[in-house]
Amino acid sequence: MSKKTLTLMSKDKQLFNIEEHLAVQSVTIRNMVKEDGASSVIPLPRVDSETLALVIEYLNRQQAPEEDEDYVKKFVDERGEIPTLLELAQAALDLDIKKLMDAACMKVADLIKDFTLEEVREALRIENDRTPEEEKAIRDEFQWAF
Amino acid sequence: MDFDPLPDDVVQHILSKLSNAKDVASCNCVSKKWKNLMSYRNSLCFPDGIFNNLTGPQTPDSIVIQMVSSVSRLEHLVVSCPLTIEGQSSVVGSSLKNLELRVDHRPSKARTILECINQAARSLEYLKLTRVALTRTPKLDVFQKLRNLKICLSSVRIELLELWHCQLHTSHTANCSITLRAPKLQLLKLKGWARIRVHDTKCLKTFSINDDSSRVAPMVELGHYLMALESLSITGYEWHWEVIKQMLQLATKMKHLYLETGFTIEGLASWLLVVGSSLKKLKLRVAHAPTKVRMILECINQATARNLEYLKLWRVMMTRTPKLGVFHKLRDLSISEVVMEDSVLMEALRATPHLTRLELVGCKGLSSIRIELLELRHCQLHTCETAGCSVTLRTPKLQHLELSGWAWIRVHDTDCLKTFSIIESSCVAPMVELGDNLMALESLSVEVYECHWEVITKMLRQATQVKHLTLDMGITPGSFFPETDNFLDLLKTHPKLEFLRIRDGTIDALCKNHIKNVVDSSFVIPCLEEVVISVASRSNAEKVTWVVESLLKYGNKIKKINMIVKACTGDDYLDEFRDQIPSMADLRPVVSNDAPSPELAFHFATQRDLMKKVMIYRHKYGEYPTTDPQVWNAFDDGGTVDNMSMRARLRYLLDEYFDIYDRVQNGERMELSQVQMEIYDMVVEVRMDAEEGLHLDDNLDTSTEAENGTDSEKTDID
Repeated sequence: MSKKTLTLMSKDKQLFNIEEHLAVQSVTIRNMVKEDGASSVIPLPRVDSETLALVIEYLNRQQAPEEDEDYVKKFVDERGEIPTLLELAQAALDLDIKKLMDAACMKVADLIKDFTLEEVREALRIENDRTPEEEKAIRDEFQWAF
Repeated sequence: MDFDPLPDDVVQHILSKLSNAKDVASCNCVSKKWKNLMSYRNSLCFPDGIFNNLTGPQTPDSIVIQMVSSVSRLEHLVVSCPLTIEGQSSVVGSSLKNLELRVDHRPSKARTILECINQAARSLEYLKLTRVALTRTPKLDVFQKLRNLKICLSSVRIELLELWHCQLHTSHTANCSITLRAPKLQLLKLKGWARIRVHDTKCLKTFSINDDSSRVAPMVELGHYLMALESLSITGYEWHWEVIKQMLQLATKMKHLYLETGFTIEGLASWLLVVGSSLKKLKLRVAHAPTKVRMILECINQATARNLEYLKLWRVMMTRTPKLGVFHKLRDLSISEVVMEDSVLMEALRATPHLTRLELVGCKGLSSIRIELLELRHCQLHTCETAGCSVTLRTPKLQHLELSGWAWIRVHDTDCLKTFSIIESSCVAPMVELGDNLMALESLSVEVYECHWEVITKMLRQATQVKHLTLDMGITPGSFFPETDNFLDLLKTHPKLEFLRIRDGTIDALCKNHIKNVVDSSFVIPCLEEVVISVASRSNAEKVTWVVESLLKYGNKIKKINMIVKACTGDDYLDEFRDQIPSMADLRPVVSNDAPSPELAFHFATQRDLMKKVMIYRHKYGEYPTTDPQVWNAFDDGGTVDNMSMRARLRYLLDEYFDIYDRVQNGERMELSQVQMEIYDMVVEVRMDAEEGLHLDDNLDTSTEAENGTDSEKTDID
């Protein structure tokens, strides 16, 4: 009996094959398959090909259930760069893969704990929407935390 | 590059993972948008010490109130820092589901806060209170949704209709009594109570009473129905058998029974005959005379043979083999403190053909045993006899084997063997005969006083796929490793090696045919990441230096080289060592995160791109200060250690430096040498670690008394 494969397409139009029973760990894909059988290519317009390759590597893992937690953690730890983690978190969110998303977000949260405000803004691409006066006011308000 | 702002949902998920109030507060300052997103979070945590450096007009109370009120639907709140009673009562809001609170007040006020929680937080599902002292019963209404309660109290009566799980610990030494009225209670764990009264035990499934410290057996009164009870665990100094008997008679569906207390053979036997067939797990501290032990074993066998899966016995003394039928489902057998002869043990093991795990710890009386178990996967055998004992194993599926104390070891069928370790306490060099195939072996560890090289050689020659290798032993004089001209040959023949632990004496033996052999320039050590070298003598300094140099030169993946230098080599050994290896010239002491330990940690970067660290530990006391293997490991890892070994380390190594620490803290001016300064810095770090550890401990067993709170930290270290 041959296993059914699905084809996923990244933002930059690259195609990836994955066996259906592995792909349906993503709730998004599971729903698509349920709805229309997903015979055609599934487009993922917000996920680039490098990230998709990572997600597929994760979905293809062969782990015993009791080791899975450790595996996810290690998987994320090994890709400890913030930009990669953010892409991964976003992809996991779009595809609704809870464990991966939680682990990626946890890792980012861990990393930014020790950052200065400027570093946080830069790492997470945040625009400072406060005027210098406003910034000073809010810093004074939470001065105990610095 | 991609400069699109992150989608809000991603940011929100990331922010929801921050729970420490300090991180939350500082993220509020990142942008207005973040501040808005923050108010959607559902958890906040104020750890102990968060306000230690508070300056300015704000008080801990005002900050906690401000933070809590900025979150619209707070569900999880942890407050481990001290607050006033007003502060505490105003943050206990209605939406809370989980609450952890350090109460820390006088009894009358503690009552107020409990009543306040009861009023305000009706949706509470989990409540944990630490440092509670109560003298009068608070007036409590029903917590509608509380499922899980952890409090430490001295004497209390609790009535909660919907309570499912309950853990109550007291650390009072005086007699404390507890009365529980919780008809839906399923899990109850008690510790330290002298008088226990539980009504309505219809739903109770798990009941455990752990009481190592008390010298008095508690009085237990349970309801008349214990039909649901599946697991009963009793640990304690001396129980009245009547009390246990009463419980046992009511419980007819028991699956797990753990008795670490005295019992009468007849009483247990008659109960086992009634309900034994449902029993799956059984732990017993036997400690009876040999004839009685035989009786109880036969009785266990007769009553539980069909379903028992796990059996653990302590203090088993047997002179004659009991008559045993086959345990059909027994997979896991563990016997500690055994006194019995070979034939008794081997006969007894015939009744357990399906074992997958066997542990025999602290055996006495054995001299030569042979074990044949077809399904066995894990095996640990530890004998206390000093005369040459021998063990023969015929276990084709064996994966993990740990032996200690045996002089003759013979293992046929090693096809599946993954880990093999020999730990020898006596002075005899063990003889080891293994099967021909050691291809599956991943971890080989030999930690013995002395060993024949031929034994090691033979194992090494076959175990070419090994990843972890520990060779911590002396060598019988005159033997050498014929396979290698120098140390690097060992690494060539075992390419998968990731971790290596070795003594300088072993290096000496491995480098017999000297070290100046030219190595092929394309040679690399492919997988090796960590090396531990213990140096006990100066005479091998040249070879050790050469080995470290080669490891740095050829090891692409080397991350850490730990050197444990025994004090008997003298203080200037390290200096010489530094002189000999040019790349270590800029060796300078730092406090490294990898080694929050009192040893000296040195760490350096070579000129090469790869960061390589050499950590040199110098044990101040030369030898390991204790025989506890956990502590050894803690020394050698230098990394995470559990609380117990941390305490042992503190006790043995740091007394002196704690003294310095305390004197400096008390403002005494001291002239410290460079080395003393470094150790002082590390003591500060270890102190912090230890304190964190202790607080963690507090949270775990919630047994700190309010009035003894400050003292208990000291006693823990002492």
